[in-house]
Parts: sequence; structure tokens; C-alpha cells
Amino acid sequence: MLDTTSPPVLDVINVCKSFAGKPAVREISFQVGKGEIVGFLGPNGAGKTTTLRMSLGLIAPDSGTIKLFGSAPGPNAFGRVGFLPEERGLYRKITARDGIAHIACLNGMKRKHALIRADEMLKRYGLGDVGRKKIKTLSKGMAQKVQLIAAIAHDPEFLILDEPFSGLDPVNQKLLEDMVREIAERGRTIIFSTHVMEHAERLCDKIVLLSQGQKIFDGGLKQALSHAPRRLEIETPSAKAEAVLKPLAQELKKDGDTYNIVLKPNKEARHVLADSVKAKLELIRFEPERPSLHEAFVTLVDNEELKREELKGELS
Amino acid sequence: MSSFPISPRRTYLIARRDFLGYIKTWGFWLTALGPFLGIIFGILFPLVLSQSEPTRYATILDETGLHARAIEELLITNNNKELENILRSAARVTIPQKDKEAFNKVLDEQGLDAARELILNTSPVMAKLLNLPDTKLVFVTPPVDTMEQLKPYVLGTEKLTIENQEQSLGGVLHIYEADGEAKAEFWSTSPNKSELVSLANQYFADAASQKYMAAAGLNRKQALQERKNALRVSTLNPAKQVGDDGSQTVTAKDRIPYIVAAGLSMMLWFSVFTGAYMLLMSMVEEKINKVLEMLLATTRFSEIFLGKLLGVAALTLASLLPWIFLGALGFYGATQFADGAIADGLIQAMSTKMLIFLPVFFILGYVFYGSIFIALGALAESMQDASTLMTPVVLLLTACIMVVPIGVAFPDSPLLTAAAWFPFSAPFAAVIRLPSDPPLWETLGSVLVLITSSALVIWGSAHMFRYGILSGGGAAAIKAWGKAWFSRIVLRRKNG
Repeated sequence: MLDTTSPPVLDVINVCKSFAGKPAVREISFQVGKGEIVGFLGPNGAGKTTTLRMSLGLIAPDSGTIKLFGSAPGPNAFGRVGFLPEERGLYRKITARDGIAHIACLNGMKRKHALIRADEMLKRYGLGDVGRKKIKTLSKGMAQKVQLIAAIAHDPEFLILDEPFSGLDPVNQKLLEDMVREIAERGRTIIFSTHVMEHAERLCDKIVLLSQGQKIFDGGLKQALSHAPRRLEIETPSAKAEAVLKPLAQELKKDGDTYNIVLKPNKEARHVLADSVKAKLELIRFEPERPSLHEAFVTLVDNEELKREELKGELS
Repeated sequence: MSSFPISPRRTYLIARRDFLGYIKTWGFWLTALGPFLGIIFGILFPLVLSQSEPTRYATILDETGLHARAIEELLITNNNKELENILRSAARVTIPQKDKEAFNKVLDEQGLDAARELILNTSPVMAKLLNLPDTKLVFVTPPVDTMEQLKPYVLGTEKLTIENQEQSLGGVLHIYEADGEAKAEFWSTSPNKSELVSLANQYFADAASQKYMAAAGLNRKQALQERKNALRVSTLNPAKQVGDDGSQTVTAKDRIPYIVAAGLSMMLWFSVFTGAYMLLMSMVEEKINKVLEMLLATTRFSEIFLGKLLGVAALTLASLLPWIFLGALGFYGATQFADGAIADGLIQAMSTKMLIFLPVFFILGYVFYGSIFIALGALAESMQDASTLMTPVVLLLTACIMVVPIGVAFPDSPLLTAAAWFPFSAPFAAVIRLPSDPPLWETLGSVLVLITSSALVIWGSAHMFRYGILSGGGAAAIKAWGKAWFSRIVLRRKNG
């Protein structure tokens, strides 16, 4: 439900932030459009949490501009944003429904409505029977779900989720994915940071990739996947197969009659097929592998590090 | 983002949560009901103690035949004196002022039972409590004639028969003459000091003193009376307005306001300490629970800050209600029943100045220390951190309470005047100075010092709070704040 006509919900322009002289975020720019699900990816220490905190106005950037709903982040956006911080926590000594209702009230809901909404959502997400239990008595996964419900109970226009999948078992990860999809279907905008590429791959319209405080990719999922190395698996008994495939491969591994090929950057599976047909190879199997975001991520990070090394070398 | 504009609703929600979060705890109710529990415990404890003490049977083997009866009579006299003291104390709070003289006359002329009857008319509940517990020391006639024969009784191998029941003999006071001198020995298997020994020692001391004075042709009773009627120095204060009696004598009425101010100052200190400590704990708890970051996405720093101050203030006030209730009850009781001087002193203590400035210093002291403790809580990452960070402030706070005894003993001390200008001690020092009627500008000066210091502390605390929450906390947060402040204010000014 991407709305390309509306101004971006979040606009981060050339933002820098250092802590104790150490740069955490360097010249980052990206936009989150209305109705988009954006995956904010990067290794540990890439600057994801700092950027998200700056996006909410919790910390101020050293330079650059951030616009949330068209103006500086802060009180103007209260009630319009739902935030799940990386460090999870709720008041331990109150009940789950009270905890959810308290945050919903702070986000502008009336207490009576907030309690009704809390009960509804707890029920919807399978926690109906723990609503009146104290949060300290809940399991970690349950408490995390309660906190997510607290972040979305007021039905925010924009949801910022910092590492929402960490600490959840596969069943709850699937449930959270469903929750995110359901929220997005209602036209809400979502940005979430994660280490788990599969989630981003399954959920995101757009990927922003950070490494060492810098943005190294910003674009659609297909575009991101195009950076992943293309792999092929071919099975052929032909003796000349290796000679035919080698000019097209960046890496070539042979196991019996099976060849695992990583294609050169300028080559595609169709080129391999064309050359194989031309050389009259007897093809038993020809399987191009689907590129993964994980590999795209690794490639992009490696390329960026390579660039940096080269730059360092040039400077020295 | 500005730190100061606030939303009343969100501030209320933060305050409400802090208030309700604590009011449901056992700790709060124990503190709130403390005075009542103290009263119940204070009454129950002596009762339980007296009930738990078994009756001790003792005998006096007086071979001289001179002392046994006198010692037994001394026990009765002592008990009566004790009961008389209790009745006089009880009369202070049960007999209306106008009937005091009549009560004293009845007590002096008609005795204890008549006096107790008078109290029964005004306070039946109190009168029931005005009985001495049955004496636990009971004298019995020696069952045998010699000490050697009595030893098996002391050892428990032989028993006494009292009211058809076998009882052990707790001890024997053996008085005899040897080599022309009187001797007294107490035989008992108990290692504890016996009441009988104290009683006998008192008797012998009185007897010796009487004998000595009689030898010199003096009468001991007369001497005691002379001592009672000796000249006493009156303390006069030229600054005091001449009273109804035409004198400027310093009385209890003049001292009471200082004692009341000391009490109020202590209460203020205790409330500030309790409130500030609760703020610190609430802050640390939210940091440990990782709630704050989520709150900050929906609420301004200033709203959380103010909400916490208000929530805990309401909580402190709620925990003070029983004290205020008891204080008001005591004040009313004292004005109705206490000696005229005490009642007048109490009324004088609650002067207009005190009624105006006590709440002012209460609020300012709470805000000043509360802001400091909130900032410390924001900087702490654990309970241990919190203890370490609060120790210097607690030491300072403890040092400041020293102004209370100084204020009572030396209200004109220059140290006390200085303390009223020092923000950490100002709330307590200014309150305790009020009875000595300092110039109004000095009291207003203390108020101004506290307002200015509180504003500075709130400003600094709000910034430290902000840095403390989103950085690691502890020294790193202070460093980060200091650095950010320096680069933003000092360097910008330099460059600008």
C-alpha cells in the first residue's frame, strides 16, 4: 500500500552523530515513504539504533536534518509513532493490560478505551488469559509480545521497531511477521532493524543497509538482491563441461558430474545456458539458485570494506 | 527540543503511575501506618513484658529482727510512688486544665484510688490502664529458721506450699550480725539481679543516711524538704514582653516553640529524605526495567521529570497523613488538657510565619533534593550504582540535620544563620530559626536561595537525566553531558 504521492513519513538528510569523538553515524540519508515497510539492516555497531533514536528525537544529531511527519522529531509526533526499543522492558509489577493501557494513554487514548483496546489486542495475539497477570510473571516471549502490543495499541501511523525479532522463538517470530504484515495492510508505515535477513526479505518493500555508521545501500528488495552473487548448479557427464563453464564463472566447484558455479558479475544464467547448448553439453540438470539477501548483504559489506581499504591505501 | 513545555495530561499520567505503583506496596503501608503501629506496639510491649515475667517468691531471713518489715513496707511505698507518677502523667492528657488543681488536691489529700476515680470520669479507657501490674515480687515467711535449712529451697529440692500449690523459692535475703557488724547476703540460683537486692540496697542506703544525720542531730526528712525549698535561679529575658504576672521570666512556653520547630524540621528532613529516596528508586527501577526509552518516545523529559516529582510528592503527603492527623490530635489535646504554659507554647509555636513558611520550605526542600535524586537515578544502571551515587548526597543531607540540635541549643548561632543561606541545609535551618523571629528579609532570602538553587538543580538534573538515560549511565553519562555542554555553550560562544 505504498503511497508515492505523500511526503515521506521520515526524512533523514546527511545526519552525523559521534559519541566521545567516535563517529557512530556518518552522513546518512534515506527516506521512509507512507505505507512502506523498510528494513534497516546492518551488523552490530553499524549505527542502526542511534539512527532510530535520532529519528524519534531521543538524541540530537551533531549535524544534518531529520524530519518526522514533515517537522523536527519530538512532541509533534507524540501519539503518531509507535516505538519498540531494542532494550525491552515494561513495568514489572503491573498487569499486562495496565502496562499496555498506560503507554496507550500516554499516546493520547482515554483510559477506558485504552483498557478495552488492551484486552482486545491481548486476545487477538493469543495472550487473552494473561492480561490480568503481572508482567514479571510472564515468559520473556510473552513480555516481548506485550511490549509490542503496547507500542501499537494506539494504532500509530508510523511504527519504529528496533530488533523486534531478537529473543523470540520461531513460532513467535512468525506471529510477529504476521502482525507486521497486518499493520502494513492497514496502510501504516513501518521501519524495523534486524539481523535476520529472512525477515527483511519476506516483509520489506525497501532495504536500508548500514555498515560502520555509513549507508551502503538504499533501495528496493530486487535491487538489493541483484548485488548477491548468482549461483548455478549444473549436472552434466560431458568431459568438456569445465572448459565451457570456466570463462563464465567467478568460482567453479566440481563434485562428480555436478558443477557449482558462482557467475562473474557481468554474466547471467542465460549466458551459461546458451554456451552449454552451443557446446552441445548433455545437461541433466540446470538449476539457477535464487539470490539471498544475506549474500547480497555480505557482498555489499565486503565491497564497502574493500573500497575503504583502497581509499586508505591511496591516502597513505 | 525544549525541555520545559509540558502536557498536564501526560504529567498527570506519569505522576499517577508512580503514585499507584508505590501505594500498592507493603512498604508504603508500613510507613503510613507506622505511627499507629508504634502506638500499638508501645502499649502492647510493656504489657507483654510484664505478663511474661513470672512471680518470684522471696523471703527475708532477718536474724536481727530490725529490717525485714521495713524492707517490705519500702516495696509498697515504691509501688505507690510509681502509680502516683503514672496518675500525674495521665492527668496531663485526661484532666481538663480547669480541673487540674482539684485533681492534684484529691491526689495529695485523698490518695491514689480517689485520683484514679477522677480520671475514670473523663477517660474511662485510660483509667483502666492506670493499674500497676500485680507486683512480681512476693514476700513469704521463711519456712525454716536457718540459712542452711533454707538452701534446699533455693536449690529447688524443697518446695513452698502457697495457696495449695507448690512454688519454688526465688531467693533469700539473709540479714545477720557478725563481729558486731550487720551483714546482708542474697542467696539465689538466678544470675540476674533481683529486684529484692535493689530494694534492700535502697533501704540500707536510706537507713545509713538517716542514722548519720541523726547522729549529728539532723532530720533527714527535714533536710530533703529544705533542699526542695532551696532558692532557684529564674531566667529572665529583657526582650520578652512583660507577661500577665508582671515578669519577664523565661518559661516552658518560651522554649516550646524551639522544640516544636525542631520536631517540624526533623519531620521535614525525614519527608525530604523519604521522598527523594523514593524518586531515586523509581527512576532506577524504570531504568533497570528499560521502560524509560519507550516512555521517551511518547513523553517529554520535562513531563517525566515533573510527573515523578508530583507523583512521589503525593505519595509522601499520603504517608504523612497519619502523622499530620496524630499531630493535629496531639495539638488539640494539648491545648485542651495540658498545662497552660504548654498549651500557650504550642499555640505560639504554630505562628503565622511558621504556617506560611513551613509548607514553602517543605516544597522547596523536596524539589531541590528530589531533582538531585532523580538525576542520580537516571545516571545509575543498577541498585549498586544508585547506592554509590547517592552516598555523598546522603552524607550531606545527614550533616545538614545537625542544624536541628544547634537550633534548639543556640538559636542565635552564626553557624545556623549561615546554614539558612546554604541551599542543602536551608530548608531545615530556616524552619528551626523561625521561633527566634529572624528578620523577614533573611527568611525570604533563604526562600530565594532555595528557589534559585532548585531552578539550577532542575536544569542540571534535566540535562543529566537526558544523558543518563540514553548513554550508559554512571560517570560516562556525566562526562558526556559535561562535554556536550562545554562544546555547545563554551566553544560556541568562543567561536561565535
